[in-house]
Amino acid sequence: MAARNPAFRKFTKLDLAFLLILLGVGGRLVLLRVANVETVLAASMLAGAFLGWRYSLLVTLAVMGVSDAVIYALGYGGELGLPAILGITAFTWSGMVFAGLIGSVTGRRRVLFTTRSMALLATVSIPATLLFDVWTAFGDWVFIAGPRGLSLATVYYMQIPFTLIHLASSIVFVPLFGSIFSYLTPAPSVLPMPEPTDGED
Amino acid sequence: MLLPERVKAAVFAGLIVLSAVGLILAAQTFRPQPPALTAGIPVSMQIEGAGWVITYSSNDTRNNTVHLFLLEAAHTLHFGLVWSNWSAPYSAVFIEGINGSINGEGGRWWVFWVNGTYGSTAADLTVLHGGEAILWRFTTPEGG
Repeated sequence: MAARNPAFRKFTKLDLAFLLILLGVGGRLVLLRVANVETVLAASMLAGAFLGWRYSLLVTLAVMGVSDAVIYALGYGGELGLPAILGITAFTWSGMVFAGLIGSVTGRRRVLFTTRSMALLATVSIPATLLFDVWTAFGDWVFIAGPRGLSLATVYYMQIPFTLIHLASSIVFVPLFGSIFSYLTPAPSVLPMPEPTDGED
Repeated sequence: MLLPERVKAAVFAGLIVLSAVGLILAAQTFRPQPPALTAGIPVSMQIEGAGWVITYSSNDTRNNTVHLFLLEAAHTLHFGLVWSNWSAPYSAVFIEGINGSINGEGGRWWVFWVNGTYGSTAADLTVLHGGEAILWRFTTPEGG
């Protein structure tokens, strides 16, 4: 692995959190009309993995808050009505918080700029994505589909192709952005070796 | 066997691309495919807009999705239709306006039912087999 440019070590946790928020919001808005291809889950998971659970909460809530505000201001989702929007918001936000916490459990210290670490992140993104989709599909049923007469089983069946695409999105974006952010993340500081002292065996 | 890091990274990237393509192809198998019809089918449709109603029916249509049948009605009866496309990999049509009534006007939106059942998929993904009665209504979310 090539030696890092020391300038990258100047990135603070807050800098990286800001970059992850930009990634999450920008990706979500750019990919708005591509169903279930999104960068929010990657941003939340990577925030958890590289910066810890507190920053994963910050990044997730900032990304969802800003992007939801823009999306609803553009008129999307108006056909659902305010109660359904608020209900779905609770499920999507909490679902992304779960993803961030899963990322934080993966652990900052174990995630380095290596293929092994990116494979670990990609693997962990699979259950995170499945959990998010199962959770939000349930929310969809509670607030949208159920009141219109659809069964939970039907909702989950209809969710399958979208979950497959969401999995494809996650396994591409998480290691892709993970490799970038692992390169930008300051390496763990190395403790100085203790000075050898005289002694006798 | 100890592979160099670059080789491992290349193999990993290849696996990721293959997996993503496989997942997207798998998703396509769930996409409703309207069959190519050898004979026409009967379908009827009522469109309830802002202060107006359009009815249209055909006993011999080969436009066997809700979207295609709506296009047929618009073409035959000469009313305007506005829609947008959601992009691949799971593209779908979203109806935005019919006969001058556009989504969001007066807090109302276009929704449809087929034989009384709420349209839970996009209009171009809702396949018609013959005998269906489609209802399009420009309504408030609570009015569904």
